[in-house]
Amino acid sequence: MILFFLIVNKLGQTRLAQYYSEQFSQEHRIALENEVTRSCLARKETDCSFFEFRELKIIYRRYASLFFIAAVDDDENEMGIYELIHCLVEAYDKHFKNVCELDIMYNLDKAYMILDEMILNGVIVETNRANVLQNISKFDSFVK
Amino acid sequence: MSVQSEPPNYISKKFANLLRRVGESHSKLEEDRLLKNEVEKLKNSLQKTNISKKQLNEYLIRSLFCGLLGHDVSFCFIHSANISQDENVFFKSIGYLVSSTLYDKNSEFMLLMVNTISKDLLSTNHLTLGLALTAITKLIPQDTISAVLPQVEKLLDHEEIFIRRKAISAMFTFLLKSPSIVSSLLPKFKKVLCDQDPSVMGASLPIFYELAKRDPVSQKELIPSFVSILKQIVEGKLSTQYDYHHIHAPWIQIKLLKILSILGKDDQKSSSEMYNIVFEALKKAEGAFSTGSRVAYAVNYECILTITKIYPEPTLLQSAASITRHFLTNQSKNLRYLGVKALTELVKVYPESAIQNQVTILELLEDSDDSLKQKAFQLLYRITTAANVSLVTTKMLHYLQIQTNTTYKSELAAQITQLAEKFAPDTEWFIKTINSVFEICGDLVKRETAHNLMKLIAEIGDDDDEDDDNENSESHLKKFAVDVYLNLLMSKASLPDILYQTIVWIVGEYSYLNEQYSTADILTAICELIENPLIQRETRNMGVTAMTKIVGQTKEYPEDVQEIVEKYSNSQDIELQQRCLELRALVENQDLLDDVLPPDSSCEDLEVDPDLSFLDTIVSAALKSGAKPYVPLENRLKLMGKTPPKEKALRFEAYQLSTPKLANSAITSKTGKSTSIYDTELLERPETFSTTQSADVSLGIKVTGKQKWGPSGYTGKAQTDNQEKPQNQYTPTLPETPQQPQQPQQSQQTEPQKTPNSKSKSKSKPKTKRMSKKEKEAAALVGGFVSSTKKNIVSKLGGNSPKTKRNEISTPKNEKKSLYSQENENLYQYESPKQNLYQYGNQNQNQNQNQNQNQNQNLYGNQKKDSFLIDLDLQLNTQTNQDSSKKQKPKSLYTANLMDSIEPQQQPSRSILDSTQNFLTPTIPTQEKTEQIGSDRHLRITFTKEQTEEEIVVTITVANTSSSTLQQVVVTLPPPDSLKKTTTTIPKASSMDHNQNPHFAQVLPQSSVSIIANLKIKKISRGKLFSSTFINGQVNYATESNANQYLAFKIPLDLADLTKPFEITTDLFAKHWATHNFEKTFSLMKVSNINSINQFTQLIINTLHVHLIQIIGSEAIMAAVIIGADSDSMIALIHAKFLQNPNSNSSVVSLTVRTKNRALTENFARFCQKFLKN
Repeated sequence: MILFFLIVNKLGQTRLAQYYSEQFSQEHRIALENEVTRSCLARKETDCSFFEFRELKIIYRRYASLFFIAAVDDDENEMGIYELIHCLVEAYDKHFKNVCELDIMYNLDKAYMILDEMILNGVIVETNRANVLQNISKFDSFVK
Repeated sequence: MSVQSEPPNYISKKFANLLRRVGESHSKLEEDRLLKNEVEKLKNSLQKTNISKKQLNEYLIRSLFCGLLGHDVSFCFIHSANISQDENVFFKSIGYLVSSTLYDKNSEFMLLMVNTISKDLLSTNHLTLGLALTAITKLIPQDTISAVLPQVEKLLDHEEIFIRRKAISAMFTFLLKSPSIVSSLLPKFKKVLCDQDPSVMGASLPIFYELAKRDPVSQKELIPSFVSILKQIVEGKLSTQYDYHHIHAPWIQIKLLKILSILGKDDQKSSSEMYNIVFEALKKAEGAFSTGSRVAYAVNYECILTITKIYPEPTLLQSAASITRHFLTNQSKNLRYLGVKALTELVKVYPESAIQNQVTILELLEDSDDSLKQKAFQLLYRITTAANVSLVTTKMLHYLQIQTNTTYKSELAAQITQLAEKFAPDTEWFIKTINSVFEICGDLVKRETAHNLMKLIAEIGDDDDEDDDNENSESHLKKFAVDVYLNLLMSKASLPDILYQTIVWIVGEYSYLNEQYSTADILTAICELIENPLIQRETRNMGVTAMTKIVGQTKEYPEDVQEIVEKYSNSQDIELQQRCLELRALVENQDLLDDVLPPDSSCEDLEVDPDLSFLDTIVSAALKSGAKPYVPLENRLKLMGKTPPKEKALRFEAYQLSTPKLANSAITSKTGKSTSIYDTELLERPETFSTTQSADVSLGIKVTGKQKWGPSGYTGKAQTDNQEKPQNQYTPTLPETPQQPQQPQQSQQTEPQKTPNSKSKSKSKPKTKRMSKKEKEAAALVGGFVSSTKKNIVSKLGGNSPKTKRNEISTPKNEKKSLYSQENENLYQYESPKQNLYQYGNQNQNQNQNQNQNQNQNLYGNQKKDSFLIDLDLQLNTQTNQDSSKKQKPKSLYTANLMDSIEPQQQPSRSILDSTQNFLTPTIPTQEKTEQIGSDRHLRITFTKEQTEEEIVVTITVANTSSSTLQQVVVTLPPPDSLKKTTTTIPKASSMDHNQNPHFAQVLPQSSVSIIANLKIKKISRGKLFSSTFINGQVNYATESNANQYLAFKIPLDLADLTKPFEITTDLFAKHWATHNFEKTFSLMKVSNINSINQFTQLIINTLHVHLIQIIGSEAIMAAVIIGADSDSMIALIHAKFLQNPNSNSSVVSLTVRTKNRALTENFARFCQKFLKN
């Protein structure tokens, strides 16, 4: 199961954080995010994308200035999550038309919404891109 | 990525600007300043009335932005709760987003949100429904599930696919939070599994995975469904929209494989249904390797994991091994990571794969990436055997030294100690290895490790005193240990506390073995240690006790020690103070010091006489001369008309300090249960402890400072020869398991000191003729593993029970059997008959071929099965069993009364003894041996013991050896607590006084009188052991010159006197075995004079009156019953086992006793342990 999902930039600023487990209370999250990000930053490009951090398994992928980080329990297929991150990025890319960090900052609600279509309760629920993006744009028509 | 993103129209320029500035800020400080400003602004803005929704929306997004960066934005919570109730779906979505991201689970706004959610669930707008269902998965508190459940249930049938998908996800949330609430919905879930839309089906899989994890059996009926779904996916029946990088619906495949691996685990029938589809999935994904599809690797990796978890299939294992190899040799570190993990699982069921990849494993150990390295060490830990243990631990220790991650460091340290305890080739090596671990990361090591180490060293040489050769080498070992620790102490290096504690304990106990340093030097070093401000108080305390011991052994009491003692006698630390005061007091009384702290006796039993029987003589003499008998305080106060004081009065003794008690203050409780150094029981009951302490102080007997292991606490003898493990006689694999540990052991005994490299090389013989250096090293690392596990696997593939097998080679937790856990291990086995039963059942299903063979070998396996049936029948058998108690011997007047009163609390309804009574033979072996127990100038007292059906008859003969007539001879014979005197027979000419003490008017010169006392068991209490029971008697008499004299005597009585054989059949034994729940097992190594099970059995029969029921292989079963017992609670069932290691002289005997009475079990076990040790 995925315990939390982060999008963090290389300065360590959290752009998106979604927690799926109640074991992380709000007050401890920032410190945890910082530590995890630092551990990711400390790794070399050639290093493998999976590592253990305390009791967590971290799977991360870097896209330009952004780190996409998933923390999972023992039960998860690392490569599956690694590819899921890419699947998510593809969905972002499709929706935002060539996604960049600012897109996610400006459209935080959409970034969350797309993630919510793919992962709920820490498990993968949908990876069919058409299904994922089916409703996202519909919301925009409600803002004038 | 493009940089020209334009903010959407609902984001103000201002906000866009802030985002830019924060993104470009160069320090955390600058970022924080910007954000703090922003938060203040937001707070003010949100307080304004008449903000437009659009503005509110932006404020909320800005708050979320700040919240994600760690700033408190709780002021926006109420607004987000409000806006989530808006009718506009967009604003609603923002409200839900902010709430679900920032609310804590205990937030007061949670109920508001639940209210909104339940309203939204009734909406006709699909987007609203979707938002509400998503919010449920993130927000719903457990106790409000029932409020929304019915509505969500309806939505499972919604026409819109994505609503159905989200509804089933919401159900999964409910299942996670409150499994019982959705249990009635299981049929519905199955319907969803068959949903036409793959997306909905896929979202339901987590539910089934969760259900399978909780109860695999309940989901087995769905195996065909899962298999067929997987088949359709693999064959590409789904829309291409679900494809990802050339693989059909990879994540759904992964989930299905995970479910199958749980359902197929240890179940050959279920597994066989999956073999084909798993193979297909594997091959299909393998086919996509060429495209560079990483998700294909993910699917393949999952296939490998599934193959290793389900019941093994050779073809699948080979395919899995070849793909693992592909992973391991790939350039990508991610793939190599997967490869190591896959191999770690694979070697459990397919050890050859370790050999195939040994060079790669070695490379990975050298990898620059810690992630890979750690996984490689994990793998190495798995494949460690006695053959490669030294090489592996050397590598591990090296890595431990450079490791910085504490979490991993402590894990690695634990692994090293586990390996050392399990596979240590010799004690010297073990001590060295554990010391290295202590030195590198002592603060991360569990305290038990140190405890075990001390115990091990203390027990060196305790086992076989008769073997001189051994004795020499073992005292050499002890000396080695002392030298090692003394050198460490003298080096004045800064060491972790745990190592200091080990050092001072060992030095305190055995410093006399060293020839290098003088006592004064050692004491000075300890003094310096005590003065070191950096050490823990516990270490300091242990230091003082160590000094006490050394002072006791050497009688030297140098000045610096005195100074320390003076200094800390006033310490605020009460324990330290006490220890110092004890030292001071003991120094003044050297004799007492020797008694309290005899050298090298930490392993000896401390016999505690709770009745203080050694005072009996003095007491009775005092009574005789007119002293008042002791009346307990309560009674005394009653007599005086006062009420006893309430318990909660003032306490005058010192309060216990909160820190744990130490090794050296362990006191053996009177039950003989050993209190180990870190005995938690003691720690948890500080009150008991402190009273004991204060009692000691007042008596002047210092018990602190010496640890005494009780015999039941240590499995002892086996520990120096650590490879030998008692076999589990319940498992059907009895014949093959012993060979496993023996092989490596032999190699160590013949060439213990060779370098690990060469040793291991000789063991593993890879096919290649010439190996490179690297290959050699790799072979050394990996080699031993396969040879030792191969057998298992072969038989496993041949259809052996998977359950027992897996226990043997997998799960590091179970494997944690250290050198010291033999006893526990056995205990565990006996205590879980159900589990064994289950295994037996499994076995029957799975291996019909081996059944006959197993029935012969597996004595208990059969009986377990029987006992299972008997359990059910037991209640029918309710006939009472009064007869045996009625047919007493002819009784005198008072014995009749006595008999009534001592009739044990019968439990007539549970009398399984009915049937077994018939087997009792009337002939009881009587033993008659005249022994002298006391004599003086006038008297000689002898006694004989004899058993009858119901009682033990003790005949005491008082012979007048003098030439004068003795007058007024009174024989006092009070039976111990556990026994009751039923009759006392004396010659007619004499009389009895009112105390039932036989009284003779006179005994003529050179004649003798005999008193026959019939004793019967009264009660068996814990801690009062027969094995240490005496009948303390006394003869008072007057000589012709009218001088009053007395002679005290003791009649030893042990358990053997009170038992008689209990003749039953094997079947009955099995029945009884199940109902006799109190069990004790112990094992001893190298018991002298025992070379076979027959000898072992004979020894037991000779010592204890037992009935030998059957000897089967290396096991024997016996039964005994307490004489005169008329309830079935007095039967003792004994199971003995003898294990001979054919490659060495070592052998293990183990004995299990089962009775219905904890005290009885303990008595038997202690008694047997005692005579076996002697």
